[in-house]
Amino acid sequence: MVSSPHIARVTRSFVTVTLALGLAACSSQAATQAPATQAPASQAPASQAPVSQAPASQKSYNIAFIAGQVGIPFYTTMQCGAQDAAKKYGVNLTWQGPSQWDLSLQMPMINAALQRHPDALALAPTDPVALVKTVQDAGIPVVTVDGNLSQPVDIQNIRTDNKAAGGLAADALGAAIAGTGSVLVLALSPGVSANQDRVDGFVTEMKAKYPNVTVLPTQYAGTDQRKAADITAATIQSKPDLKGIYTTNGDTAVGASGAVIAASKQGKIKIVAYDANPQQVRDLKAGIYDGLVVQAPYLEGYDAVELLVQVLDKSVDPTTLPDVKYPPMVVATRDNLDTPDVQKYLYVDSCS
Amino acid sequence: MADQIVIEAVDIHKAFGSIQALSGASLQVRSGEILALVGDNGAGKSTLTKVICGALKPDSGRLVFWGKEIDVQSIRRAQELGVETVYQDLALAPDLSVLDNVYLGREPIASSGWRRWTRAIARDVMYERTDEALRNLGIGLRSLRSPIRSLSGGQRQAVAVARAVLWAKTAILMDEPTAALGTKQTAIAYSSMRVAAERGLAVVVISHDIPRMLKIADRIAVMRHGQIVTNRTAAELTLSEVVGLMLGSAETSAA
Amino acid sequence: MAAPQSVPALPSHVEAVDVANRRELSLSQRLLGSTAFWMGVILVVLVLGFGIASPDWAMLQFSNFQSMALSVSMIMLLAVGMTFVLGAGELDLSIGANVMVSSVVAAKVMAAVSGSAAEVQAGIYPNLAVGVAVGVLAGIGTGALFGLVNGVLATRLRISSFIVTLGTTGIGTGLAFVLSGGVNVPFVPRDIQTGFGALQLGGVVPLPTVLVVGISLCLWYVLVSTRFGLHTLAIGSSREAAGRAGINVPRHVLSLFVLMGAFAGLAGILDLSRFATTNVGGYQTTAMGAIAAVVIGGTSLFGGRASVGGSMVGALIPLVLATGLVIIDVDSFYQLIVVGVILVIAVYLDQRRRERLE
Repeated sequence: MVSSPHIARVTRSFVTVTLALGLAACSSQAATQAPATQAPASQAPASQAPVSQAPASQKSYNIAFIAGQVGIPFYTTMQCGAQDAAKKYGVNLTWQGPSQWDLSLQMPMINAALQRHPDALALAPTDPVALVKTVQDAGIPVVTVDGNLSQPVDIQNIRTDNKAAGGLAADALGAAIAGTGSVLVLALSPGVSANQDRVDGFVTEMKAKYPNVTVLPTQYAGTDQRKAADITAATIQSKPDLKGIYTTNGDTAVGASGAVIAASKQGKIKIVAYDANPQQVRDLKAGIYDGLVVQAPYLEGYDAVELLVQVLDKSVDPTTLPDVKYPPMVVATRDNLDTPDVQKYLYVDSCS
Repeated sequence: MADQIVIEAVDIHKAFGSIQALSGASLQVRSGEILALVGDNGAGKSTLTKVICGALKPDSGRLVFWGKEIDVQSIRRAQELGVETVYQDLALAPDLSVLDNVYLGREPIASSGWRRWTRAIARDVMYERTDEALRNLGIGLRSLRSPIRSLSGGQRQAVAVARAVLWAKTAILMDEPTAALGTKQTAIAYSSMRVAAERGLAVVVISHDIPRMLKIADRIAVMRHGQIVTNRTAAELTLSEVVGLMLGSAETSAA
Repeated sequence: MAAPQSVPALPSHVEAVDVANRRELSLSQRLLGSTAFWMGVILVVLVLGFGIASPDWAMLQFSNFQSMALSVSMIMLLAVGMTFVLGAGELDLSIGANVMVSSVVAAKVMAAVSGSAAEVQAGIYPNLAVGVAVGVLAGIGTGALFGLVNGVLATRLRISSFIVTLGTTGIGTGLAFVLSGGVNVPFVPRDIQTGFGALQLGGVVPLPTVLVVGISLCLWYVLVSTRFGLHTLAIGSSREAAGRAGINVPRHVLSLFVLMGAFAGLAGILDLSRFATTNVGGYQTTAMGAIAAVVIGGTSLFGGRASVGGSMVGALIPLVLATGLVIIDVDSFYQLIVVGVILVIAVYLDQRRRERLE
């Protein structure tokens, strides 16, 4: 006669094996979730393995990574970093993300991932408030990347220091315009704190380091390239000493550069923009932009996975960690673009 | 005044959903003649007129023009056959000028030069003809280029009548043409009908003004329940007879 | 159709009544009565006002006129197309989504045809001319197709164009996101920018402006002098009257939507040539902006009355306001308020003027 505890044990093993097989299948599937592009990336980042405290863990963890958006170089690069860390630490990584930065699209993915009971979760929160409860109730270690939560209920938040990024941009732009003239600041919209931090960091640093530069009042263009172009064109008219433009997101950069080109001022008015997609890097080389503030999505992905492994291994005590960790950044210019130190930061369309 | 039958409607049936508007209506329309079409509300007068002018397709029955049976598919076709209509709601575009309304759908193209090549409307020709036609009909208007909405109700009706008289070659159908008119304009409307008839056109008039119709019209056709119940010369009929026929005293369905 | 016969003179027994002398409005009277004219006056006043208030007459600089002319071309093109749509009493709210999806298609086609993926990514375009030509056709074709869908839904299904185009806005936007992956299309050849979008004819007039003004003047002529234009207004004034006059109303309305769609596709190309990429995060207010321009210019929202010249002026007024406010350093938050207030005042004054005339 088969005893009940025996049946329970068999059942549990059976379920565990099934789950493990299922997860393995899912992870190999999810690893190809982000669309592969036809062309290989021109520069693949070298493996960014910082010296870690612990060797490869004994156990093979299942970690779910929910991106904020897939199909864009920023997140593709983050995926590369996460996958490299997963390989190093023997982690079964599942990578998923919505096609739009949209909570309604991301939420089902988070729920589905949690249903599979991973050991830990890395998440780029598309909504800082709504996801607080989700993270609190997850019951597993959670690290957030890119955006942050309104309450620090996660283990740690790894993201760009936007204020520092603005400061770097100010250094670069101030140098590019030789410390004199006016600069225009184009921002997204008031009330987006990450974007506002980029503005504040810039203004503070510019006033401190290049006091002769006049920082014009911030103009808001949202994601409307045309509006950014019109504002830039009008400013070119009214401020003959306009020497530089600081754009805080992709669309304002496109709009501003369009207006500068149309006014035949390319090269005379310097533009600093964010991010280093292959298109932007090409534009930097072509003189459309004069500086790119490059964030470190690769490190965000890598560090998130690594930290989760350390927490699961109990080699790191989560309560001792600071709430936020800021990966380093660089400003890419035509002069330093080909140096390996800058190359390793550039974003890619696919992992090699 | 040749008295030939230019249009004949034979056994027309038309239903709207469960309502049988026409149940075997037959009518002859003669050139040079004013025919009054009378009947109570719902008798089918407007419907029959719309079938003849191409605005509605009959469920069954025939339309014969100049002796030939023709399937009138559209208003355009009826216009080509020479039938013009003055609708009860006038069918005028309020924002367009008198000129543009009179010529709507039939605007002439400039005949020479670059204006012809770009297919510009020949408004000069339109102005001349419309001006002349209105004067000859005794209709006085300040401006032919101002929008119709600036005209009074009576003036608009006059324009609608003038449009029909201008274009008709076979027949003019008028649905309650004097309903909104004052005395002076009513006189103009009736004189327009006379002018048209004298020109050899057939004129069919729907009207509730039976005494007037008895005086002006050459023939009276009475409709009841979707059929023509009598079609006789006006001289033969009295007012009480006509009213009686409209409302249902016994009668022959005379052809 | 044969010409009408001339009506013979009144028979003597008919009394001639009510004959008055004709008095048509003179050109200056018509001008003073037209909304487009007064909006033109307001435009000049705004330009001069900002000119006086701006440092060193910046507003009146020739280079400022050049950059405003370039910027207005896309919205002017849309406004001119919308003039016809509104003139017929219809509405197209979907033009923003149309511009978006057309520009995505055009950009993708240009990038795909101009070279292999690797070449294009590196900035090499062996088949540049063909790629651009095919891309332009694809963009305009997409726009026209979008318009065709709008037109068929509005005329065949008898749903009001307001509802139809409200729906197709969502469909078009979603399609644009799917096609682009939510990201602006990369590696569009910059030559369309350096070779057209940023160029001036004779060093003076921006090429896009030349194109759009040329198209606008043609359409002005069509509206005022041809059957197509007249029938458009007839349909807007009274659909019934137009139908009774033998005009094929559904077919005409369909052609208006296709025309509007093709213009939206072309507008997408214009933006591509200005920025060398798409703007999937934009175009939320494009439809409203075009409709506002048209209404400011004197075209009636209810159909029957339209003015291409007015729409051209109407497209310029919001741009002049926005530009002028930046030039005189008004805080960007106040700009929104000022633009809205001035638009309301302008339309209100015009409404009063029209009421007095009738």
